[in-house]
Amino acid sequence: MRLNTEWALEVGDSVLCRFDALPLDRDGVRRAIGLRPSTNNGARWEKAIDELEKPLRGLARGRALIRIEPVASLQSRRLTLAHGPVIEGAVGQFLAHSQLVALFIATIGSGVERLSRRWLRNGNVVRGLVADAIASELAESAAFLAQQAVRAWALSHQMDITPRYSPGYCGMSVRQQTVLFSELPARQIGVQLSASCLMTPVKSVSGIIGIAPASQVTPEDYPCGRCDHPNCMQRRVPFESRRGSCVDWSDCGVPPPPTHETEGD
Amino acid sequence: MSTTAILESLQSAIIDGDEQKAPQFVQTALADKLDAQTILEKGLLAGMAVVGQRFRDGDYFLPEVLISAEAMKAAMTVLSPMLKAQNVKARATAVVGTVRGDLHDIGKNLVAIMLEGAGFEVIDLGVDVPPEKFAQACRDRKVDLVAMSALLTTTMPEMESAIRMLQRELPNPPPVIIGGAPVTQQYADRIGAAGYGRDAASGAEVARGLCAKAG
Ligand code: B1M
Repeated sequence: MRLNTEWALEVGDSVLCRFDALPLDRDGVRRAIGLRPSTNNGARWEKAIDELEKPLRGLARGRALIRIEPVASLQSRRLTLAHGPVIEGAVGQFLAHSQLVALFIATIGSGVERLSRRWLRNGNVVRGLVADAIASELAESAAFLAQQAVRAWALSHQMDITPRYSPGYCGMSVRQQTVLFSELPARQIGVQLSASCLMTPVKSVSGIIGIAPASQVTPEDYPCGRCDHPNCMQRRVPFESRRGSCVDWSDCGVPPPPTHETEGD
Repeated sequence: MSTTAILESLQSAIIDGDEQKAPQFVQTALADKLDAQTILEKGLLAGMAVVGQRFRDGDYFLPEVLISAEAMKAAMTVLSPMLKAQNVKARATAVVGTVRGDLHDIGKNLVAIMLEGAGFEVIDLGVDVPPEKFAQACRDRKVDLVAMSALLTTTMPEMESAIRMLQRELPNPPPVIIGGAPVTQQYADRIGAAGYGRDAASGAEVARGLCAKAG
């Protein structure tokens, strides 16, 4: 995808980005619904995807807030920004080498979500679920475009970016969203954080992206390749056991692997 | 068309997920003076039972099951007023909700749709439901099952709180089934839930099993 260099990102400033045309990964939509090539009535689902793609992409309001800040210190589980705020999580794994970080919140607004809910309530299961899956993919796209905007900025400064790291994922509590929300004027894009640290509209994504010299980072370097958590639902790289874990997943929030007790005694 | 043929056609429409034909066959059955309960039991629910069997056998997956549920919903829009008029009660009543602190509702909505497809009357408490609200819903009327959903590891413990409250506050707490992305059978066992559903269709199967056992 073409890198978007339109946004005048600046260190220390929140920048609002509007994404008029969000790309849609139709395979992602199919995966979310659970469609297989052999699905009976698969044509019904495909038809609904065809029919809904254009209007829902039109209804989605892709927005993101991005703020780049210098890093004061980066330890294995603690990132301190130069102006004071602290973010806790597996930051040493995800954001290694970062000299700056970009904090972001991306959303597609609540229009598609509301429509999906209404359809489901009225018994329109296919449309409701397709709309929900499309909305999720469009929210991912908005986060991806935010990431691309940061990458464009990084490349123009002879740097590159780490993978995106979101509160709630691997080793970072969803509660860390409070730090992002205190740093970004989320109201400008209509996003609110609940007491339990979830966002409304639901189809929103928040996260942190590290920025470091291009020789030290790439956006695809997920620590999953170095982690041995056997039943992690957040895994992006296939699990190969006994590789020797160098990632501490003991407090990552994902349920621990089952103990192999004998049953029935 | 004979009564048997009408009911079989209705079953097939449900099994094939034909949301156009299913309500048409309900109309035909009503025009043929079949009573609403027979149409529900021997047409719609019998069709959904085949769908459930195919799901258990691995012939149907969630998308197929949901298409059938949609056909069932379309048929119910025609049948519901007649069921009401003839005072036909649902097989069982289920209270569903996403637990306190959690705002995810798509999974819970699918579970509600599948429970309706299995013949339950569903009381949907929505999202962010505190334990007291589950308990109150069970006090307000006779509830046969409570179905709880959570999508985050941080909100999962609310399921345990709600189960404890039901056990504390109600003389005969209904069985609770749980589900959602981070939930496992092990977790269900640990917190004393009566059942766990990997997805919405399995949730409805488990619910049906529990309510059949109860009576
Ligand atoms: C009672 O009996 C039963 C029986 C069965 C039951 C049941 C009850 N309840 C559910 N079921 C079951 O039946 C249903 C299907 O038949 C299923 O219901 P589900 O609700 O699970 O399934 C839906 C039909 C489809 N599934 C979904 O919609 C969720 C899929 C995954 C991939 C997912 C998606 C798509 C999204 N997300 Co996010 N997301 C994930 C999910 C990972 C996963 N593999 O599940 C999860 C839930 N998300 C997570 C996170 C962290 C987040 N997400 C976020 C955002 C998003 C998107 C916007 C991109 C998108 C949409 C979210 C939405 N809810 O609409 C953020 C939160 C958003 C917010 N509003 O606050 C954010 C916090 C990240 C961030 N910081 O931005 C993770 C939570 C981890 C944790 N710690 O618990 C997560 C597990 C991903 C992961 N791999 O780690 C079953 O679980």
